[in-house]
Amino acid sequence: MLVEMKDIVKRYGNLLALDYFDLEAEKGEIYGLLGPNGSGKTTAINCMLSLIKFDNGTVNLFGEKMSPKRDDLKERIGLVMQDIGVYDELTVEENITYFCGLYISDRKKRKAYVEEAIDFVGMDSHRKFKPPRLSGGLKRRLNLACGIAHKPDLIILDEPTVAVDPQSRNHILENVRALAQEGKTIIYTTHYMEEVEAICDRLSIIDRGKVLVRGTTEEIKAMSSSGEIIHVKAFHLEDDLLDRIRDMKEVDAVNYEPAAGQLVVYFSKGESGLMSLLRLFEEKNTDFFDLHVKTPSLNDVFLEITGKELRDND
Amino acid sequence: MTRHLARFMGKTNLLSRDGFLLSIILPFIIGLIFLFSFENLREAANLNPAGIVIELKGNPEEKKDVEDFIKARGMEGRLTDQGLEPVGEPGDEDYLIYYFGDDDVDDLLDEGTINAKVWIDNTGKKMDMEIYVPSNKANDRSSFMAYQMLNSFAKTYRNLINNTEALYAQAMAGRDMSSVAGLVERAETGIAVDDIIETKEKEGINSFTHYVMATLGFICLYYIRVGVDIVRKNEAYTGALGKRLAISPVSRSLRVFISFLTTGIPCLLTTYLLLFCCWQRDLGLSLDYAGVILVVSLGVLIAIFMGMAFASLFKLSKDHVNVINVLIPVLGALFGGLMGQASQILSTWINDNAPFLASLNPAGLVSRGLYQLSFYPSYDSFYQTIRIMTVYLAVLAVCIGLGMRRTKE
Ligand SMILES: Nc1ncnc2c1ncn2[C@@H]1O[C@H](COP(=O)(O)OP(=O)(O)OP(=O)(O)O)[C@@H](O)[C@H]1O
Ligand SMILES: [Mg+2]
Repeated sequence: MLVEMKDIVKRYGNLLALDYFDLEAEKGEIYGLLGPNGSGKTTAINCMLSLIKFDNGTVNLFGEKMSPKRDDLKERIGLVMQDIGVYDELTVEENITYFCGLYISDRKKRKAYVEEAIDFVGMDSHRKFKPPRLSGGLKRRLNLACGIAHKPDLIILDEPTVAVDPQSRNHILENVRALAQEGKTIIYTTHYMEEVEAICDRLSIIDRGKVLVRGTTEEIKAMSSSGEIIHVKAFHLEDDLLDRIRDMKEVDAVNYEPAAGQLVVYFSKGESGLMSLLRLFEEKNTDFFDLHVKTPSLNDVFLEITGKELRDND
Repeated sequence: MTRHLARFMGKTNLLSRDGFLLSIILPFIIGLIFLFSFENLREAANLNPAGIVIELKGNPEEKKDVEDFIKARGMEGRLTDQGLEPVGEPGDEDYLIYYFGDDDVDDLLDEGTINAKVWIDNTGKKMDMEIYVPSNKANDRSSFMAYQMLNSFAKTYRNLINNTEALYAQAMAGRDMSSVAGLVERAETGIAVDDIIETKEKEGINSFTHYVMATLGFICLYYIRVGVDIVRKNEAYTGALGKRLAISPVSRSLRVFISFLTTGIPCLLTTYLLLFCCWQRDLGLSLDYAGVILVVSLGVLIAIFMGMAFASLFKLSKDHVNVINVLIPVLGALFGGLMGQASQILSTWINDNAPFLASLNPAGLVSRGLYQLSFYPSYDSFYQTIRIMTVYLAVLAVCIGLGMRRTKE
């Protein structure tokens, strides 16, 4: 195990920020930490890196016990924090050089690494800018570059894509995947489940400092008790058709709002009823449009376990 | 690594608003404002010699001593309805406009057109002197100067008379006279007016020089905050940048040390620049350059170390830092005697009754050291102050060392 956190307890006064938190990540994998605001993701990372003291538990990185004094371990770690940590007084290039230089003494090597990092976040045209002149998204990208320029073996990304536009986000996600392919281990926290689904090999869903479930995306989705949900717009549906749909053996529930022409069909777990549904519509010669199929998401699993949404829709 | 850190830490410090403005520009500007406001004070005192009316009694010889002394320090004046009018144009060296006579000058005193009335009675063995300064002139610098001069003249005069008597008594008892011959001679030729003038001049500039020295001490207090920042910006709990440094493989001690170098040296240079201004404008600072630089450097270092020790022993939030920023200069100014009469009384009281407390205040140590350099006849007490400061610095260094072992969240 490259990262091994066991039974971590962290209290802030009365608030239990981490409640016997566990995390295990293997070399070369992208491990996701998914949880709503205030669930303890950042706190978990701070404990992992000995940036704060915790009340119980052990942390092993690279198979060795982590502590604030373990400079040999720190050398192999890159952290991209949720809060932007760059110097307003230094240009983009200088910022990256400064932080990279804390790890890499060799000038030539450092220069090459800095170039690669600038490339990684696509900031070549902004290299002489100082952070106050950068937009929020560009600042985030600089923040990312500062954390990974020294090519660490273990990379911790704490919500690196907040406020980054979709295009740059995809660029970053692709690069993160490329890093993992080079054999780097990545811990990725976010509250965007699409990102987790897109890049994480395994993940933990956490809430109030507790790990609720862990596993691969597929495994976790499979935990959901519900199956497909089909939304379709159709006006003037005959009662007969609705009854036929209700009678389908795969269907759990049907909800129709005639005024809005909105039909929602819930299928039971593991069943796919799209084809049968379409056949019924054809049989009755009924017009429909705007059909979409939703498979259970990580959010649904979270909803089922905690009774609340993972995040507001955004 | 050291060079890399020094380069970027120096750059970020010098370019950052907090680092540059608050720790370098601000102390400098405040220092200049204080120093130059005192300079005006001094010039005002020079421009207006104190007008005094002296009623002199006693035997002619001793009367002459008093007259000689007064004449050497001022210019004669004529009594008119407007007050005392000097017979000529008073020069820089004329601290007094004097008039000998027993005229009734109560009205002039009430109007504040003269500074004091003095009665001197030399009839007895001791010189009796009574000085009346009207309340409207009590805070006037010229009156103060005149008072200081006359008062210490009277003291010295009495001492000399007493000494002379003691010497004659020894001679009568058949002791060896050669060792005391000089003193006897001096006593016989009357008062060595020059000696007194010299003492007087020192006492005269004393109070405004005291302000200059207190200001220099006070400036050091600003650097406590610099010390706090040096440690804080290397701590993970202070935010993203702190975290970034804390997670790097460079030890905290090295980072703090380089921060100290890159921030502390500019602070020292700022202070040296202030010193240079003091010397340039001749603000009464001792001309023992090495001594002054030594004591001021130690003061700046103690202040920085104090802040560092504080921040390395305790977890300080932004609010704490703000409180420190506001409180320390105010307390320092208060205890350093920079805030009016009450604060001068306070600082004197502490010096007399709790010297230990005064030694805890770097501002006090600096102004004390500077004062000793300027006014004390030997270096003994100055060295003592330097020793105290060195020990202080060492104790703070140990505190920093202990604090550095703590992880603060
Ligand atoms: N320094 C602190 N003092 C007190 N409470 C804290 C502190 N830091 C975090 N907390 C609390 O601990 C809990 C977990 O916070 P944390 O920052 O780890 O959440 P998070 O999962 O990273 O949330 P987000 O998605 O908003 O970043 C929150 O309830 C937060 O209020
Ligand atoms: Mg967070």
